[in-house]
Amino acid sequence: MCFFEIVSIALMFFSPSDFDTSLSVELLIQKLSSKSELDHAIARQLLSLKNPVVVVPKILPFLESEDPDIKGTTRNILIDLANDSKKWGGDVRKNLSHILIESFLDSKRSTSAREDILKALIFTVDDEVDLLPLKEYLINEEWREKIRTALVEANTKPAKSLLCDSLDVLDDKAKSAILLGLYQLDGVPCEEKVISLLSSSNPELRASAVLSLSNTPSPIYAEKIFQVCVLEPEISDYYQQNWDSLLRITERILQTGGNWSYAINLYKKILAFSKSQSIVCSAIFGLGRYGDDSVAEFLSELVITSEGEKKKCAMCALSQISSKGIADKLLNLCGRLSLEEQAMLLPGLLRENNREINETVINILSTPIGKEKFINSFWEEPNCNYLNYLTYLDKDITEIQRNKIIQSLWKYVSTNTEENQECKGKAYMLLYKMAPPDEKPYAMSGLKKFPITEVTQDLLQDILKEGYDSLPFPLLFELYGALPNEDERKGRLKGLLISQIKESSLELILSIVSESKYLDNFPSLAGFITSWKLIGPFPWSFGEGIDSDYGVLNAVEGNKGVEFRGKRFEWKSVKTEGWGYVNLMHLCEGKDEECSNICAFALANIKITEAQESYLLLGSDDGYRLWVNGELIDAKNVDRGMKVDEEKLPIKLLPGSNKILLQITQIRGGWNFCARLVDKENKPLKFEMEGN
Amino acid sequence: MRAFMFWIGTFCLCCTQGTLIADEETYLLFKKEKIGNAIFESASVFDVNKDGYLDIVSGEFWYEGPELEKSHRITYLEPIDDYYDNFSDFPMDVNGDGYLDVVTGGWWGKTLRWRENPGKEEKNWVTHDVEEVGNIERCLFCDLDNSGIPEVIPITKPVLIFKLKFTENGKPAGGFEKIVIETEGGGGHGIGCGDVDGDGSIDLVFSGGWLKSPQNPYDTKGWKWFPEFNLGSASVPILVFDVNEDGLNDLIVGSAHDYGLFWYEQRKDGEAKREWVKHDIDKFRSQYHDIQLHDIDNDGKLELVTGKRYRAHAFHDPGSKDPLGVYYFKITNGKFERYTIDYGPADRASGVGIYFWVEDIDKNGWKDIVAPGKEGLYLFRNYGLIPK
Amino acid sequence: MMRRRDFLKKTSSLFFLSSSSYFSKALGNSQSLSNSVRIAVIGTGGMGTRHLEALAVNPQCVILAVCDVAKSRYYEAIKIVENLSNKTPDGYQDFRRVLERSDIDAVFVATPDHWHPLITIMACKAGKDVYVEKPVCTTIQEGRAMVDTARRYGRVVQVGTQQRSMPVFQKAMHLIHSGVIGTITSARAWVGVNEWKAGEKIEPIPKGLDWDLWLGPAPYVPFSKERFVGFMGFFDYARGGQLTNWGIHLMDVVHWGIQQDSPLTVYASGGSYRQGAGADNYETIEAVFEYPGCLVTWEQRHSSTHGNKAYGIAFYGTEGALFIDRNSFIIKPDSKGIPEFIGEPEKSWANPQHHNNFFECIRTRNIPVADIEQGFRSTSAVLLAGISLRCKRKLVWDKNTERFVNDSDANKYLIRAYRPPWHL
Repeated sequence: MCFFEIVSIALMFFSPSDFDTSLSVELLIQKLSSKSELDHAIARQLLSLKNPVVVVPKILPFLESEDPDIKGTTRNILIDLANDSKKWGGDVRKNLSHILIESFLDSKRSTSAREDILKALIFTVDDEVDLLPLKEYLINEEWREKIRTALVEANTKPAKSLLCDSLDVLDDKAKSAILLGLYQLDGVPCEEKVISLLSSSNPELRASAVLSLSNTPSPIYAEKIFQVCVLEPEISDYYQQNWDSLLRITERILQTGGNWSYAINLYKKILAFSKSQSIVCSAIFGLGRYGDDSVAEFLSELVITSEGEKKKCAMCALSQISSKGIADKLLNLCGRLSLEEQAMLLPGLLRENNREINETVINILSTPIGKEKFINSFWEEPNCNYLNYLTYLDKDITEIQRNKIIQSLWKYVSTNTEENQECKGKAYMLLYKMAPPDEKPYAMSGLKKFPITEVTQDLLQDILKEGYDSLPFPLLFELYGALPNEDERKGRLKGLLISQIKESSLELILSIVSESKYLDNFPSLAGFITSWKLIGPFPWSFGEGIDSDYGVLNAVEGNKGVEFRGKRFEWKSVKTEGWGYVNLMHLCEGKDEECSNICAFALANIKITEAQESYLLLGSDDGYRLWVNGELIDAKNVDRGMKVDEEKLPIKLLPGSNKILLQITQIRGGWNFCARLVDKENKPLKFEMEGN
Repeated sequence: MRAFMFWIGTFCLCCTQGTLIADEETYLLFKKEKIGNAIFESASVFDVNKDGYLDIVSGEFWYEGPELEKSHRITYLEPIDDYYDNFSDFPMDVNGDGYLDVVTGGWWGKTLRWRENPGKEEKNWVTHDVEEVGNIERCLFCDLDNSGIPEVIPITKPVLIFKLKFTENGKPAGGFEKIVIETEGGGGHGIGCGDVDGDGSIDLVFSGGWLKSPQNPYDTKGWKWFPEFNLGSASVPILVFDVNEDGLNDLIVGSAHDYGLFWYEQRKDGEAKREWVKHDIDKFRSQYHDIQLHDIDNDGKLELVTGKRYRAHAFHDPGSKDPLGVYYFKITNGKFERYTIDYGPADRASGVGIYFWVEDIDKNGWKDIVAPGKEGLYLFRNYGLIPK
Repeated sequence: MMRRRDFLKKTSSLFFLSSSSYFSKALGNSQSLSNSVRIAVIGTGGMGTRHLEALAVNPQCVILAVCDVAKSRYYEAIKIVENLSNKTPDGYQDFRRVLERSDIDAVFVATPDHWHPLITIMACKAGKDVYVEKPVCTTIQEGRAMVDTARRYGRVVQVGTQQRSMPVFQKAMHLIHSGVIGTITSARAWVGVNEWKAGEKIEPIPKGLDWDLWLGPAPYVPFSKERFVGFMGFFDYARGGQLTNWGIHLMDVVHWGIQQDSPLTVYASGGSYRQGAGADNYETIEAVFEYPGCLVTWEQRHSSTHGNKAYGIAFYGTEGALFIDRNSFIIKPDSKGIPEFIGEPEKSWANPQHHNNFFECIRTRNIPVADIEQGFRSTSAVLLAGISLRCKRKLVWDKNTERFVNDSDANKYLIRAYRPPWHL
């Protein structure tokens, strides 16, 4: 009969109020005797949801069954109930623990049943359940190991104290087993006993005591372990193990913090006193993982004074340290090492960037091991500095190596670090160059988001093929610069660029174009007046305002010079610098005393075809006065830095030639200005300049 | 052949003094505890609730000693970017009720404030504004007039001294009186106090020079400005201390937003002009914002205790991504020897924030370090020298 | 030319044996291939034999020794190597003899799961680099000890999650990382059921088998063929059956794709509904993991398929989904126009590219492509699911302390008591 049939029959004879939990438990337990696997499965599911104190005593007999399915299912139900016992609350759990302990103590049960009960007990006990009844079984040889296992895995206070107590009565081998159990748990419960065992004459016991102390980050324990290590004879079976424990506790101390100098010194002592090669190297690696610049100093010395394995370990360790000031040490060392050895220092060298490092790295890359190390280190711990060398490396590597680089690049661009935008752009650029054709489109879409620093011909062609209307400013600007002048698409690109300059924030654009090698294209695109004639510097002071014109107003026509206070001044032709500003410091030769409290004039001749509403967008350091065709338009006497487009001054430009004259004052510090012309929609004005 | 070389190598290593620290090295035993995840950059230690146990105060919370597990709220602070407007937590009984209050100030609030300890009541502390003075990097607390109570100097320009007011019967009156020093000196990042010229009165030291105190520090016109050096963006405080024990006080300065820890040796030959000679203590660590002198190892001499202020300017300062650390330097014959208590990346190690506190919190005779900061609030309990 | 070292031979030392030369490869020579890595294969059962077949014909290495607790197995292994390479390796029953040899540079560990941690750790301490099969361990404590030991001794430890070296997976990852399916908000891994049954027949220990050594750190029990051959069905040796057998491979790929390695929470549920209610390891399982920003599910069921694949991994992103197994991957929706990528069919579970990456890293001392830390994290994910399965509740995992939050009962599963004298 199937389950539902039984239940419905049962329902016929019992009203709902009689259908209490114990009854359904009986029914379910009946299912355990069934031959059907499905019955077992359901029994397990449903019994596991019932109150364990009720179920467990009833199912324990099934643990004795000969049928492996019944026995196995019962065991599983027991484990399920034990694991889930917490939800029934403290009293149920306690009762369950007592039931299990009693059942275990019942020697009429089979050994395997008692073992199963023990396994369940692990999950029902907590710090309140006393485990003393198990003590005699811990001493008893037949059960000792199983009880020990149960106590260790139960990991409660009573369990640990029982383990500790047994240390008093067991023989050495058994003591050692107890200590190995305590080693797996946190803390050292019976500290005094364990420490006293450090001086045991039995090396195995000694070593187990050392082991059980080695997980606690205590310098006091470390000192004791060190004593044991130093006194342990080299031929002892436990020589290496003890030193390994010392290494472990040193690591713990460094991970927890608070005793850095002590622990680093401990590594150095291990290095000096241990006679095992692998322990010495491990101490060196420890110095590499946790060390600072002073440790780097020590390791460099070690590289110089050691040979063979130790030297290699020291080099590897040294290249792991990432504090400031390492680069110089590494470069110094490179002078004394062969190229293959220098390859081991690559990760350290590549954390910083300067000309000397560049030269050294390129040398190292000429060796096969150098290439392998570079590629694997880039994969392991990528940073921006590696990118510069990848183009150099591209020529001479295998397919597999290229694949590895491409993998690393994809990993690099997809991880969300606050890395430099320019670096990501570089990485996408490299991906575009190196990735297989089916991945190039994805590299391209990445490129569209980051500033790129050089445009190859294929990239150019691909982008132009795709269409460039929706490309962002950085990419458009690079394309515009890379296209030859005759290219008819250049005009279209120019239009797109100009419309973006109109819309976007100019400061952001300026920061982008300043990095570009096509920077020279920018000023005219944005409408900057790039050709000026300057005259000055004239003495001036902030206090007096900007009133005097020193006779310059009369010198605007015909290139006339000016004489002021016995000195002769002539107009000088200059062009803007960078993205389109005029640096007036040239007039005073940049000397502090001479470059303060002065002013100068700048004159530009603008030709337009038809009159229209126009604005002069001006930024100046410091103050200014503006005349257009002889009429004073505006003045501001301020102390400020130059900010592009700070002033928006409406001006009337006539068809034909127009003279724009600026007087720019200088208090101290920077002295410059920038001026551009836009129409009423803020688009750069179309004009010609004299002197262009 | 190789085996032999290996043994010689080790033996030589043992002999070379420079590379191996001799076995007489003794180290202090510290136990590091995380008190809280709160990222306030200042902390202090005092008995908040007068129960005989020292507590830790940091920003919005104070932690009840001796277990330091229970925390109580002091006030609510608004975060601004990744800062809080709370750059010191100095204990001072301002209103005379017998309970220590907290004097503080921050960069954005521009206001010197004190928070009133509610005493037995469990409620938030009331914050009283003393005065709006300008951006406060971190107040200097210095006893200029030898009264036993420190005065508060919150900013570097203008030079203002806030002195605790007292009633007639000598109890604190709940406020401060402001004294404005008339001088063109001051300004810049960094401030310290000490007797620079050995005349017995406490002078003030700034990034661009020092202000010589008249006999009466409240003689506002009597301070003289000596722009004798340029310390850059200096630590708060700048320490006045005779490093080389030649009778002339020197300056110990950290670079608060860049690399470096330095000392400036004072040289003065009789009536000749005073000279300051710069020496490097540490070139490779940055953000030494708070530096203090304490005898941390009970050897009778003062050590320089300091550490990194993590993300002092978010990630904009040079070295802001370098490992953090807590250090002390033993000073002998003009030489600084660094001992590192903690060192490592921000998710594992601790720095010291902008205002840390050294005090024997558990009364075992050894000074402990309370290290706040954006990486978390840590306590380094000092247990004395590690027995050999 | 680097000279060999002679080391003091340590007799019968239990755990720490003389180290062989760390850098005897290549640093003096520029041609890496002319110096083969000298290896031994420990555990020459099913997977071990696959490795032998590939390694015997790989010019980058030479097999000096094979080892198995059952003599018949290592006799077989010797024959296999002889047939393929005309070289005769030495045969051992006890892996400790292998680790004592100073002329062995690296070992391959293909034993049952419960031995992976200890042999790896002891090999590291003996100065060998290690290629360890998955799953890396059976408890979190073991895995952490493996990573710590590898780092402490500066050893290269590669985990047998060879999908990291398979082009079909690498290509899929490039696409995923380039953002073609957008941000991944959920992922799924699925496989077929466990088919273990309860019950074992106790028998006398067969001749030539060192049963105590086979058990190693696991509790001592009498011999049965069911345990010896079907160890994956027993909790003492494998913590989950398919969950830890295939689970590692598939969760490893999930981690690779979402670029995370530790779940925040896990809830697993399941049971054995058709057969094996009495067996240790469950038949049908579903586990849900919360990762930062992503929900991941693991499924183990009858007649399992998704997207026409009987097993595999799926990534669901804001702009599309990707379905992958060892043969091919496909990106949906079709409107994205990305053709199905069909890789080379897998010829054997032993992957020569994966082996070669191991050998290359031995030369350069770099982290290999399936490093032990990464393998430990992939293993952890399924171990945590297994624990949640037994505890029948959602568990919150703290990856920094490597403990469950507020659950001391669940934390008991993080360790297993090692049978002395074996210890981590």
